[in-house]
Amino acid sequence: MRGLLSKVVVLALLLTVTALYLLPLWGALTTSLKTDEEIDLTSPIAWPQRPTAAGYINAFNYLKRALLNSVLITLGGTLGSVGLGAICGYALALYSFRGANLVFLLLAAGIFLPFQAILIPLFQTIRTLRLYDTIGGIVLAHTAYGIPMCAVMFKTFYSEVPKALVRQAVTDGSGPWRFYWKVVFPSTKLATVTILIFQFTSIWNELLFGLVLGGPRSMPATVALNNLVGTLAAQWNIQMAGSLLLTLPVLIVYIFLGRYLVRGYMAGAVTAV
Amino acid sequence: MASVTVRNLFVSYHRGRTVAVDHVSFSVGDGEFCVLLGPSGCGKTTILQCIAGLIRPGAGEIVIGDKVVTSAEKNIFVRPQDRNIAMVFQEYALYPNLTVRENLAFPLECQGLPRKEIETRVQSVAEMLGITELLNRRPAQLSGGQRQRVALGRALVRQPTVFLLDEPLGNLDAQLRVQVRYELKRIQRQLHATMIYVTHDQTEALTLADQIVLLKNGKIEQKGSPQELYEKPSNLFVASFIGSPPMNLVEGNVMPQEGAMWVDAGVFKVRVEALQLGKSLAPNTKVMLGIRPADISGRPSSPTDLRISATVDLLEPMGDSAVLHALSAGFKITAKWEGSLLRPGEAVTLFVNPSKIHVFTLPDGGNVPKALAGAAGLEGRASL
Ligand SMILES: Nc1ncnc2c1ncn2[C@@H]1O[C@H](COP(=O)(O)OP(=O)(O)OP(=O)(O)O)[C@@H](O)[C@H]1O
Ligand SMILES: [Mg+2]
Repeated sequence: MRGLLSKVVVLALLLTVTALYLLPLWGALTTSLKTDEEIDLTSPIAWPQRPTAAGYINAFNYLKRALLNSVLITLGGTLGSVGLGAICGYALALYSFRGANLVFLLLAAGIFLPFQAILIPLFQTIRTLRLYDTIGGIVLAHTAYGIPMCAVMFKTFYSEVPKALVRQAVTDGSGPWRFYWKVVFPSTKLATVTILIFQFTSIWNELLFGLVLGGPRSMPATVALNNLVGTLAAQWNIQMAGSLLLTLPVLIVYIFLGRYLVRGYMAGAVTAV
Repeated sequence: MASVTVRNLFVSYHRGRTVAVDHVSFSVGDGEFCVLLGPSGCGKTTILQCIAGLIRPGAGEIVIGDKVVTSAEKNIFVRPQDRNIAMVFQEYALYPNLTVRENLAFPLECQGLPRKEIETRVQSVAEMLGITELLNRRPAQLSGGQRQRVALGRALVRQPTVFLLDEPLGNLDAQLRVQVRYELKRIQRQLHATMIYVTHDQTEALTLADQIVLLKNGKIEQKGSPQELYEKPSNLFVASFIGSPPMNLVEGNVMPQEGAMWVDAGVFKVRVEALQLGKSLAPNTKVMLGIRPADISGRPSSPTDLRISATVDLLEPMGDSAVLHALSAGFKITAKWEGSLLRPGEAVTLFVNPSKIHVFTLPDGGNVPKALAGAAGLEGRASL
């Protein structure tokens, strides 16, 4: 009896916390489907009497360009940082070379480098390169900034590849590239997916680089949405619709690739697929 | 195929505090089967990896064929992939994501051979090793013995100048080990292949090798044919490492008595002349006498045989023969027994031809060589 009671209490508590947590999201959803008038008259969490997609259409029209920018920036930045990070991690994990420890130390330090600390030098570098307000400039920044994290994660995963396999490949006459593409990459796909998702999410959600390095031509959706708050102060439905539009890709990635993510964390990196 | 020469090889770790290989030299002839033998940690793997080019030694030189591939002094180092050696690691190291066929083809693809040629070679090696049905499986779907064959096959397809094998049978059960051992020897003969084979199992070494290089603590204790190491061990370590069951060892003292020189070992006394040594032993020298279990028998081979009375402790039947454990004056004797069944506690008389007894000086353990065959052998008289 007491066991049941405590279970009920715990469950109630959990439900309350969950509800509190989801409330803003619910509010965003309801508001995004309302007309301007209904927003003024009803509570933010009430379900709209006449749901309308107008907010979404407006938001999409407003964010169209920025969403495209975001897609390009995220694709470029993710592929760049994951690709280069993988090479770094591969070399660090499986080959010994002079200065390897120093390189690893610098990469590890790079992870803890705060965004703000490098913002001004980064801005000046990008401007000197004539890449200010270009997609390429933002992609470059994300690639460079993402490499340390990716490299360290890849190193951790690749360290699980048996050293005997590396020596075998060397005596078989294989260079590092062939060994990577024929053996290491195919047997660590989960690791790659895990890190891809990680990078995709952080670059898609990122605001600061876009704000500083992007201009009207290249701003990502996060920046555009932020601007929306300033320009259309009263149009809550458009703002909420925009926010939800922006979370959509991340949500989709997690729904379809989330199970790989969990498996990537749980299982060892090397699988005989 | 090619010969391999290792000269003065030296490898150390931890900035010289651990010496793994200590000035080792040996040569392996073209088509020879050489076994690097020794207890764990004696530097066998390190030597093999130096030959493969996976380790750069601190000093010394390695020659494959007529080409210097490693020389610390002349600063020569040929990359492993350019040495045309094939190596089989103890862990097999099969590529887990590739099928057996792809595993076998991998080294050939690295050489850039045409597809047709790769196909043919993979097929013929698979037939030679009897793994044709396994070609489409992945390593995870193979048994230990099958993996071992694939690993061997991946070395064979390459048709390399030298094979390097690091305890390739280590992970197999006893029965399979004997079978694969035989196959390996057959293939080696058939291909007239130069093989350098690492093991810590002396039986494997004795059955496979043309030449054994016996190592301890990074140094060579003795090198030579299995027969040489068995019959003329150059020191106590070699004597006790080679042979199964191991050699019986008993300490003795050299002393003059009745106008002759004797070695008194407690269990028995033997005249020094009867040992047919190539040099004399000074009085009061401490020696270790070694007798192979196979040199002890229940019937005298000549009237001059030493005679040892003992009681049976245990008779271990081994099928056609048996191993006898007996006690004599508190001393444990092991003998190869081909006679009748014995029960524990039973009294037994054992005979040893004194000329078969190995003599080692103490404390250094160096062997006192026998006089050359044909030299006059004096009678030995046993007393107990
Ligand atoms: N990478 C290394 N770093 C430090 N010491 C090492 C290293 N590799 C080997 N050693 C040391 O060198 C010595 C020889 O090692 P090696 O692996 O050659 O022995 P082994 O004869 O192959 O032994 P086993 O039969 O156990 O395989 C050992 O004392 C070992 O501890
Ligand atoms: Mg070893």
